[in-house]
Amino acid sequence: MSTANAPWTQLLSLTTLGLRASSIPDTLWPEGLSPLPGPSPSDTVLRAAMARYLTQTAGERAQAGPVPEVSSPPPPARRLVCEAAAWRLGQMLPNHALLPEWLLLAEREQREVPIHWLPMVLEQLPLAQQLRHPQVLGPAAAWLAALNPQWQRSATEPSEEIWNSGSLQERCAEFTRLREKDPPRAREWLEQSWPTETPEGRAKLFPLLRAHLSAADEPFLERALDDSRKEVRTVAIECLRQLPESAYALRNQARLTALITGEIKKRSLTLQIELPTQVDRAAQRDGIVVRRPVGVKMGDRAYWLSQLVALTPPRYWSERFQCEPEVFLDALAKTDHGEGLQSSLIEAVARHPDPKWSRALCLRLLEGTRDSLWERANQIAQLVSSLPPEQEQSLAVELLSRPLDLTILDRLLDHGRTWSPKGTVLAITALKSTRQANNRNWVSGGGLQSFAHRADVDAALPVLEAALADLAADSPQRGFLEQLHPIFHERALMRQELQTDG
Amino acid sequence: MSDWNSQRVEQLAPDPSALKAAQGVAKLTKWRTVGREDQLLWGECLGSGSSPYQVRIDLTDAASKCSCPSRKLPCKHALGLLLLLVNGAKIPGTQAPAFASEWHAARTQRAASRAAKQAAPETPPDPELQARRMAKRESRIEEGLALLDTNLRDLLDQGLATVRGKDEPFWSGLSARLTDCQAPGLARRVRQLADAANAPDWQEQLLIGFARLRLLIDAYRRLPHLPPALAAEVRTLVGWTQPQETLLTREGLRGHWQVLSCRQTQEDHLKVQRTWLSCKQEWALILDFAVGNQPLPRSFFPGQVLDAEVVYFEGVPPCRALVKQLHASLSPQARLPAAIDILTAQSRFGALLAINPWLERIPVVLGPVFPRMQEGRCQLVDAAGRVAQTPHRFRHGWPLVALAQGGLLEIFGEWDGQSFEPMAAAAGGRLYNLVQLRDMPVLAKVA
Repeated sequence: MSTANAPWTQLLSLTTLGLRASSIPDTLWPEGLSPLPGPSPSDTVLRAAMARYLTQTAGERAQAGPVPEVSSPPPPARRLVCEAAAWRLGQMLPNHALLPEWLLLAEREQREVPIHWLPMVLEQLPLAQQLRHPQVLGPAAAWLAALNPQWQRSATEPSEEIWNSGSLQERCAEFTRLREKDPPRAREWLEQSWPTETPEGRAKLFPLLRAHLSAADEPFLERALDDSRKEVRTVAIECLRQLPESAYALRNQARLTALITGEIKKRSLTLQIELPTQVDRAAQRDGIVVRRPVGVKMGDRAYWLSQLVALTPPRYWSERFQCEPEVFLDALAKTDHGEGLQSSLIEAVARHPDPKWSRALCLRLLEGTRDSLWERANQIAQLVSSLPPEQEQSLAVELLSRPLDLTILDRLLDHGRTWSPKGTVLAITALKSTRQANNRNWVSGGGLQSFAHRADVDAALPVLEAALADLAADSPQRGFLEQLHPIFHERALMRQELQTDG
Repeated sequence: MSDWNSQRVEQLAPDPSALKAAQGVAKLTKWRTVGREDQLLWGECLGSGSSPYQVRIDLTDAASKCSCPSRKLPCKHALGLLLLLVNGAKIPGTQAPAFASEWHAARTQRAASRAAKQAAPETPPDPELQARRMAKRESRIEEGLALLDTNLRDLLDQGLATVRGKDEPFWSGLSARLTDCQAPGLARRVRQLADAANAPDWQEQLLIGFARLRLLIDAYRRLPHLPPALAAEVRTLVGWTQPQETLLTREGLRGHWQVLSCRQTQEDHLKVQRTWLSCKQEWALILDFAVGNQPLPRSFFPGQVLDAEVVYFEGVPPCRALVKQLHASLSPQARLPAAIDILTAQSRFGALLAINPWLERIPVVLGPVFPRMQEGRCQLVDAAGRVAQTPHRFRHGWPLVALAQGGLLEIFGEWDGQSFEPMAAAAGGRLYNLVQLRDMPVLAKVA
């Protein structure tokens, strides 16, 4: 109803405030209709309102006007996903565990989301995922995003202006973006502004260097070791520890050379360990902690040595003593401090992965009985999952071919990041044939879920179904496998849908 | 079959826990037998009982029956079997076993016998008793009208601003008293007024609502002077129902009826399903009701084409209808009926208002129109640059803009004289239904 319509507006205000007058002006009745007063003023007003409403609505005609010009989106570049697959995507937004896999599969099958689903995707899919899989969204996404200000993706360059003059939060955001695109240039920005940064600014910005760390960052990190803010120093130490070729690493190794010496006689290695007498300023600057924390079961001096060992890439030992990892570990076990140092070695290997060392340590941990099962299981899982995918898989396959305690199996399932078909089959067979399920030795739901989300579906389903057919109804093994089945089934269905034409 | 998809199955589920349970059952390992013969789907599900549960489903209209003791309909076994179908499990096409074919036969026979029973003459009820009952009801309704008279005068004297501030017990109290006076139509109007008080344009909505109520009361008091069709409409609006048995004895309109939308809303404990059908230039609205957890008798989906005989309730214009006989379900049709432009829609609404002043909305296929977003609201612009607004609560604006791809769409929806509410859209030779997925507005391709 057009508000420029004076009689209607008058009627509205009359009724809103309440009727005071006993009669209403005749002009409120529509033209051409003679007034029909009712038994009371309210009746009359309502009749007039109805008459006017009817004549206005029945007679209302929209005005012709300019026809807007709108661009068309580019046509789809790839085949479309079928409606069932798009419906499933809708159910998984914004953060179901299988969402990343859906996107990866869609990309692999070279499919695109149909345009009528795009508004929901643009609204609900996290921006990081949108930027990671632009082809799945298709070329129409940019066209649609341009029409709605709420969906503007910042495809612009990180702006130096905001860096120079924005608030701390804005500057952090710009820095993160640039560090994604061009890490060296981001570091240069920070180096230039470093002298003028406030302590709080330094504390917030420096940790952002952790992304895309490289050897070129070393000089800056080295200088940051002397910074007055503790956050900066801690982050600098943490970053330098990840750079095995840095001067930092060499300093630590130099300290170790003096403390651990060994000689090779007739193909066997004997190690002599000397504990450090004190931690000098330089070592403290490098992050060696002086005060032993509660719960660490070794003397102060042994603790300092163990920190040094934990920082050193294992390659150092192989090169220095020209021996295989097993030889070194045997020799280490024979010394007085062998046990504590083995744990430090595990930490070192997790930080600087090496397939031979990982394997040697895992095998030792499997046979070992000293620490609790839980601790050993965690260490094994950490060693396996810190390796790059192919090496991780071959080590996992080797371990799974042996009879394993359930707790170790559980940790491996939880931490494993990639699973080859062979590894998947071995894991399921291990779950099926294990005998020792009890209160302390168990497979957790979380471990099973992680495995089900990442394992190889095509290899898993036949083995899983065969295993379920064999097992008795109330065995714990059946319980484990039944938890896996729905997730595998859903993933297989997802795959199938994405292979169907839209 | 391409008609059935996971979205339809989800809509059938009485609540989310039933759907979850159904997903657990939707594995072939849990079913001893499954099979399908044409539109009849059946299976035997291994449950916790000693013998498997027998499930039968009629795929035409989503009716199901299961031998499990669950009180929910459709139960998780029926939903699970549908999920199996939808997810592409291999269901052999074999001859139906006894339990399935008997159920199907019994259903068709019930429908046929019901139709036959209507055709056969039945003993008329005692006319004197009937006349007394009707007179009693008329006097009760007159009491209700008098109650409304007083209330309307009071409320108008206080002013709409004060009315807006009235709390919930006032409205529900008034509505309950009208229901007691056997005028449920008036009671429903009062409840709608309570909702109108919360709308952004409450002043207009309240004024129009009161004006319509006033006219209805006046019209009811002058029933003998009105033309018969309009009189029947007024009686229906006040709350007199037309008995379905008499309706089914009449000759209906048989044809290929295309389903254009099927929407469910919840009013308190009542589930209401509104299905729009169209055949050539005729429109029919099917209303289905279910109380509490009861299932709706049948559900269709947009694009489905039914070879059916449809009978109309009395009204002006004839709108509400019943499906007297469903002969077959044909292959879905993706094209909408002939579209009209905004000007034609407005003049059609105006012409119909002249014969029924209480008319609130009409079914319209609008097109070709071009959707655009203006300050967060969706508008539809036709080739002459005329603009139709969508209601405030309409959320599918961006999906329509995306679907149009800068071009034109044909859209089916309801026109209420001021705004147009889209329900289904056609583009590129396909039909899309406007639905909700987990609370998000999406378009689902249906044909």
